[in-house]
Order: sequence, then C-alpha cells, then structure tokens
Amino acid sequence: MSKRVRLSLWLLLAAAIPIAGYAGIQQQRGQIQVNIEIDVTPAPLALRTGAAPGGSGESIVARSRMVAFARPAGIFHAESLSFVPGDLVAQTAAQQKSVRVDAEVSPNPNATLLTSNNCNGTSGPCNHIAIPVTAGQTTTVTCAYQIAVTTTETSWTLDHGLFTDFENGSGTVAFDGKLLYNNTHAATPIPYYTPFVVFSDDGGVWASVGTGIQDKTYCVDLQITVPASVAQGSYYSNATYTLYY
Amino acid sequence: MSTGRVWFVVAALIAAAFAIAKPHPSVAAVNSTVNVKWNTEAIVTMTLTPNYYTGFGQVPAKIGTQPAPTHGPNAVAGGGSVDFGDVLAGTNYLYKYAVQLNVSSTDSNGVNLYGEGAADFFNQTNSTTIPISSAVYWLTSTSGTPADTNTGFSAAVPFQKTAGMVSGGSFSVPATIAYTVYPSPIQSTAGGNANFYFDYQLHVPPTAAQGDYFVWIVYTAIGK
Repeated sequence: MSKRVRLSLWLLLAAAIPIAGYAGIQQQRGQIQVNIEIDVTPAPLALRTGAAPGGSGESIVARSRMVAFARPAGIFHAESLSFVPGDLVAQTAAQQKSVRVDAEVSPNPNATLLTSNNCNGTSGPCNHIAIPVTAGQTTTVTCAYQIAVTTTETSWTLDHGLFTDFENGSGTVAFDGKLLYNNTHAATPIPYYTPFVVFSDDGGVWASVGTGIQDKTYCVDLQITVPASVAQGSYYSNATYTLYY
Repeated sequence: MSTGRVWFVVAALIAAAFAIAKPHPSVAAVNSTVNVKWNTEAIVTMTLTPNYYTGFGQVPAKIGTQPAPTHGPNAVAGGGSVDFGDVLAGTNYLYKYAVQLNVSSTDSNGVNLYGEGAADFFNQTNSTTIPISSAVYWLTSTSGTPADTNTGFSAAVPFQKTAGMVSGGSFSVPATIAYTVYPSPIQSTAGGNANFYFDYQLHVPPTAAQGDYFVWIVYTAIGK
C-alpha cells in the first residue's frame, strides 16, 4: 500500500468517526424525580400455635386472681401543705420559631417533556408517593404512578433508578433500595418485577426503561418486602427518570 | 356578789372548759412521712438561624460536579428567608445550609422537635397553591465542617401542612401554630443542648404557574 493510499484511508477514517459518534450520542433532555416514602409498621408478634388452654393448668403461662375486696394499708390526713417561696419557677411549655421559604417560579418550555403523574390514581403531577407496608410482608402497588414522555422526537431513551438506599429523616440508611422492585410497562405489565438500580451503590449508572418514538406513558407498579427487622418509621428515596434524545 | 364579778367567774369557767376540751395540736398530730411528687415542665429554649454557613443557597439537581450555590435577594447570611431565587417549573433544587436550630432544655428526657408548613406553597401572583408535601422537602445537613455533600437527588422528607391552628403567616408576619395534638416529631434530643442542621429541597411541578411563592415553616420544640 502506497503512502498516499494509507494517508487517504486515515483521512476517511477520521472523517467517519464524528459521523458515527453523532448518530450514537443522545443528550439529556429532561430529568425528574418521584420521592418515594415507605411507611413501615412493625411485623406482628409471632403467635404460639396450639389449642386454647382448657381445664388443665399445664398450658397456662400466667394467672391472676382477683380478691373479693381490698383494704387500704392506712388512712392518712394532711394537716397542711405549704411551699417555700422562691423554689418554684414559671416554666415555658414550648418554643416556636419559623422561617419563610421563597421562590420565584418561571415557566419552562421543556418541563412537559418528561412528567410524573397520577399518584395512586389521583390525577395531577406526582412528586411524592407514600406506601404503607408491614415489615416482613410483601406489598404491591399497581400503577403507583405514571411516567409520561411527551415529544415529537422519533427516537428517545428513558433511564431510571433510585439515587440512594432508603433513609430515615436523619440520613441514616435503613434498608437497601434494591428491595424495591418495579414493573414499568406501557400497555400491559411485563411478567416479572425487577429491582431498581441504586445510582449511589451501583457505579453511578441508571438502568434503561426502554426506547420510544413520540409520546408514551408508562405505568410503574411497585413491590417491596421490608425486612422484619426494620423499625417502625418512614423511609425515603428519590426515584429518578432521565430522558435522552 | 356583784354582777361584774359574776360575769368574770362565768368567763373564767368557759375559758377553762375550752382549755380542757380542745387538745393541743402537738398532742393530736401523728408523725409520718409525706412524699410529694412535684411535676414541672421543662425550660426549653430554641434559636433558629437561616443561611447559617458560608456557601448557603440553591443548586439545581445535577449529577456530577455541583454548580456554585445562588440565592434570592431575601436570603442573607445568618438571617432572612430561605430564598431559592429564580427556579424553573419541572426542576428540582437543593438549598444548602438552610436552617440551623439550637435547642436546649432542662428536661433530662430530652426534647421533641416538630417542623411543619403553616400552609401550602402560595403563589402571590395568582393566589394559587401547590401542596407543600409535594414541593418543599427537608434533609439533614452539617454544620459546615465537614462540608455538606447533599445534592438535589438526596433522600428527603416532605414537609406537611399543619393541622394545628395558624396565626400570622402572611408574607411579612411569621406564622405560629397552636397545637391540640402534636404531629410526629421530625427530630428529638436525648437531653441538654443540641444543634440541628437542615437543607431544603424544592421540587417544582411542571405545571406550576409563574409567580412568587412563599410558605412559613414552623419549628416547635417541647420537652418529652
């Protein structure tokens, strides 16, 4: 191969790389979050199986007996009661302070590209959803919320994931975010649930929901089994959705 | 016997009778121990400092390197309001070093801290509201050392609109809440003196109307 031919091939290759790259790269166009709150009720106490105790006292583990009457140990009379001035202080029951939160909201022409709606079937924007669960038991919420892509673009990609594990109000991780499974589907549910990826734990990547053309709405079914060891309380994470085209 | 002497004798007899009939208290008293349990309410003091550390302000939710914080004109270091400034509908924001609360109490059991919105997020421009529980969130921060690492994606807790009776609460008049039933505390102390540091998040719905919004967040501290 002559020097001139090799040079031509290199130039062609150099020209082809940007074209191929441009076709494969999509830019982030929208990103939204749905705040997911898991309200945990403690697991019920384990019950001892077996018949209720009958006439035998063997199965009785505790017994109490009521007496016919009670007699006080003594009767006392207070002749007088006085307080020494200066020993008591007027007390304040509670302290209260307040702070104002301000914001100047401007319209965003791209705000409707990617939206979350219909928390538990309630129409309107859905920024926050609370799911009551009992520790140790599986809870499923069908179409907990919807994710809508509204665009004229003919080729887009949607990613999703939780940003963190579930944390309490003090920022302490209570349980793994991957315990929350989703079934994100357009028309009919897919046959299985998959755990959310957790961006902060899983190498800083989101998972793909899918691709599409123009408008599409997803229903997000959620399923979670909180470990029985998790204490009563409310725990939070943000489900994040990112649109590229 | 003169009449005066008769009356004197009668009076003397009556006095003698009373003296005999009425026992002296020291004779009738029974010595015993009396325990009095005196319950007092704790003395609770609280200070609130908005924008409590250098670098306070709003940053949009963004993966990777975080932008420099900005804020609106009503936010000043160590005071003012938590002013997110200009924000876009359909976008999420973090407000760093929003509020520091210092709570001290004489109650050895500690203190419960409550934090609620006095109302929904109110648009002064067209008098509409956004439910506060879907717009304004809180999360714990640091004193500034170490630095706050929260982002607009960090897990956060929505503020709830109070069920108590609100007084004040206009743009220029701070709100207070009278409770008959307290909500769940957002934090608690084990006693003594404690500092709480909070960031806020603002999740602006895509359908939010243009305008200037505000809401008062009311913190209440009370002994357990």
